[in-house]
Amino acid sequence: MKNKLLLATIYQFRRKSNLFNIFFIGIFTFLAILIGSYHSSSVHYMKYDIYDSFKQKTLIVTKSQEELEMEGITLDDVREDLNKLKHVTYVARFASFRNYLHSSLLEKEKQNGYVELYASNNSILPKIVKGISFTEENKYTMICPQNFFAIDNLEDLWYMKKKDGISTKQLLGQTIPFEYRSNSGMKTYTIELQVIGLYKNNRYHVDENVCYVEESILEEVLKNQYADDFDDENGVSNLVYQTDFAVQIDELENRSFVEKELIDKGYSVSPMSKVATEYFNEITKKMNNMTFGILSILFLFVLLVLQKKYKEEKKQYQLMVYLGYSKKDIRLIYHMSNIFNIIVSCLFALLISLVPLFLFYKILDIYPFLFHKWRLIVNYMPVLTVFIVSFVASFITSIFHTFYLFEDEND
Amino acid sequence: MVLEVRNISKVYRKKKQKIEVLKNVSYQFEKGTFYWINGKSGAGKSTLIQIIGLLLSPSEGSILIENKDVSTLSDKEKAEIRNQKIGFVFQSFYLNPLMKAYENVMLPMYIHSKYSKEERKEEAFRLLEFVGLKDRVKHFPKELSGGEQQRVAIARALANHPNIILADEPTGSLDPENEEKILTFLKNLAKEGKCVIVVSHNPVTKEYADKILLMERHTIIEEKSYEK
Repeated sequence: MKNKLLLATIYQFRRKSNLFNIFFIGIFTFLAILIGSYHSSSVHYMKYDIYDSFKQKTLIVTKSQEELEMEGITLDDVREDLNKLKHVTYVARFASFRNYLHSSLLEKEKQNGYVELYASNNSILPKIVKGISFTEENKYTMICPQNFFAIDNLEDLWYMKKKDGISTKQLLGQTIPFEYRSNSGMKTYTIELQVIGLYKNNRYHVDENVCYVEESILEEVLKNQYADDFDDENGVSNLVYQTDFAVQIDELENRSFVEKELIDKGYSVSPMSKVATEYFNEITKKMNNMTFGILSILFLFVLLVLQKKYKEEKKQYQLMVYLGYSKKDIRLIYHMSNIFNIIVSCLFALLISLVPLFLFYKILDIYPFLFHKWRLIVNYMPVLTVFIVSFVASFITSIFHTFYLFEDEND
Repeated sequence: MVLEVRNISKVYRKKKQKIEVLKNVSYQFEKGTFYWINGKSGAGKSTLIQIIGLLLSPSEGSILIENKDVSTLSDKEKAEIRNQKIGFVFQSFYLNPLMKAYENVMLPMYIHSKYSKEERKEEAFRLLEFVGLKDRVKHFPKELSGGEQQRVAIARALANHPNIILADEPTGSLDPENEEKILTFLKNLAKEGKCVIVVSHNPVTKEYADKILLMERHTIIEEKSYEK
């Protein structure tokens, strides 16, 4: 067997056409890897950045103050009405749904100490990986991301590395004092929040670089911010006019349904963040077609290559008959030489795919948030597909071709 | 006696027509003898060589190699006999262009082989020296002349020290000078005890032959010795 393997492999590199075939099959496999990787990365992006993103699943729902007065309903009535809707998981007044607060304790060389806070509850929090979720005992708590950067300028994040962020070991359990001012700037307030839990986030997911608190915390902050913010004409706090609500939905696919329900109820609705998923679905579909196309062409190419290879090597196999090799031996050697060529092609494809991968990660190293919404998933499944397809093609052609090597014209 | 063919016939059927290629051929071949099989085209010479070489099955009759009937053996067993007992030399040399001279010589040694890796190489080098190509062992066939390539082919035929050498038009592609060299080699092999069977149209072959077999009408019609 060792000798047959030797015959099937060593001399393959001496035939220029084999090198050519190895190169071309390698290039095709590499293209399939690229397309497969783009497809996998798109699917990953779609899943984690869109379908699982809470901002994609949040609607801003509005009835103006005038409308509320005309209908004789209060904000609490609206909240109750919204909570009753199917597929709605959380409702919060939009003004107290989100806020930016500053802590000098979190200031570092590359961070200005600002934290984006969002209202949440235990039923919709992301997965906690360390610590605990909200408790009844203490409402002045927050849940922060594992990879955490206290900065509000997203562009600056492009140039930051993981070590520039907040150490999560130090963060958990720590009480962070936040300072903020009233809208007029005349009054200063402080609120202290203890970090009780860390949630799982991707280091490149800037949108998830947020901390979660209970809604009552942001309501308190909001009330203080509007403490000296009045509508002089009507003598009421301008907070009264903040009648928007944030409505979170269970699944992105239900967003259209909830939007329609809300519109039918007379609300104005806009998504907090909306990505044209149709665009990505279209791209993914085209990628699927391209992958299928590339693999089909590759399959045909492999068949042609095996045909050509057999024609070039046929005399050598006939010679082997004279030299005392049995049909079975020759068939095996032919098959092994084909598989060897395919393996080398796949290894070549893997090798050249490392170049753009290396470049991509090198760029990411310099500009880590350049592709902050995009995580590269390298898909090597095409290599396995190519190998299996080629193995089957080679097996079939080896039986077919070697049959004719030994045709006896005897009846 | 190293080889015997008994009542060998070969018939092909094309549509409903019977084509007789060999008809009741019987002969005993001895060691240490150079046989020249001669005859017109279509007499059945190449078919006889193919049958002796166990590459074709006869329609009737049997073949004995070293007193053992080999005509009914399996493909694998016939392949082993070809590898160990028979060496082939062809008109077009039939060397593997991707292998160097010594690698071509080693080719029959890879299977059913008693040689280790080092012994294979040593034996190949020795055989190439024997055929006068000591300085060309690492050359590819395209770097060798016609005569040199045929000598490599002869060395390859001797790789497993067979007792029978079958040569089908071994000088067909060579100039007169190389013809003489090749025929001399084959003659020397016969002198060393091998049974050398040469099929050829080349009349020069008769000067080297111990026995001349004339084939006509699909059978051996005459056997004679060459008188110098």
